[in-house]
Amino acid sequence: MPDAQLLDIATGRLAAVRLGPNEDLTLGLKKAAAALGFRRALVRSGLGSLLDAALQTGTTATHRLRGPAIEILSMSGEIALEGTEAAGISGVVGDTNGAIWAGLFLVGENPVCVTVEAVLEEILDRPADLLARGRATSPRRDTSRL
Amino acid sequence: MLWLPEGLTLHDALTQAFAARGARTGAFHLLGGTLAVAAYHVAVPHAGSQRAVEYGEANLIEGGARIVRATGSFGERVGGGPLLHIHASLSDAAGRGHGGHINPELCVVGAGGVRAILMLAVGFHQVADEETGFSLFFPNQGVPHHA
Repeated sequence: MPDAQLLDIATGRLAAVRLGPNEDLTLGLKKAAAALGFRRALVRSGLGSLLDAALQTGTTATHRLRGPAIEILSMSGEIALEGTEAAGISGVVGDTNGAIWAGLFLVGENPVCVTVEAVLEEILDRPADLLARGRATSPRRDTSRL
Repeated sequence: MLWLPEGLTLHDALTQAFAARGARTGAFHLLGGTLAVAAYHVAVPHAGSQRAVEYGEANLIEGGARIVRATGSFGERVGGGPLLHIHASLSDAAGRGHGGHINPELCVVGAGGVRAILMLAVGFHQVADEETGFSLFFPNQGVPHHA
């Protein structure tokens, strides 16, 4: 069994955010993260409703649910403003009969119905992350002035 | 992390738990436990309604339910007083899943209590929202609406 790779991260600020009607769930949370100055964030919590829902289910299938409102019962995940490392946002939803479904929320296909309330937690860079991306952790010395 | 005690409504148990910590706003998760009375709402067709959606009468799960997971927001109601917004995944006696908008005044904590994690660092307050026709929670720190 391969060893798990530990990621050296730290978390920072915590913020409550709200999305309004017709905003896409994932894109809206990314906009909210950007407005807060969060480059990456954990989706710690969230609830609300979607007009219709589109979930990636199983390994590659798509499952669509029709409203008038699909309730987000719980959700969690990770968002990033750049790169493709984010896990995305997965959750459990309830349909108009009270039956529950689960999967990964497809980006751009989950418009908010009435509201979504969520809690985002900022992911901060640690030195190991910066080094791995080839960015200097301290300014290079300018010897011309010595 | 705490236990919500058996016999209280979810509304009373949660508002007392936040009040005991001096918090008037927050967010929370319910990790498990049972509800002796389990009541939730789902959206229903809304011909003629001015609002985006309407919610029907409470669905009661016969015999109560087990909480699989619940997510909630806590804050001040328009006009003052505590308000809870909770969505939950529940399991009935046959193992069938149910989910929806929880009615915290009707739900009663069952035998063994309900396990909860409170997050006190964030919060919401209710605002009468003209766009949707509902009174909704908005973040306290004034994060703008990203329409």
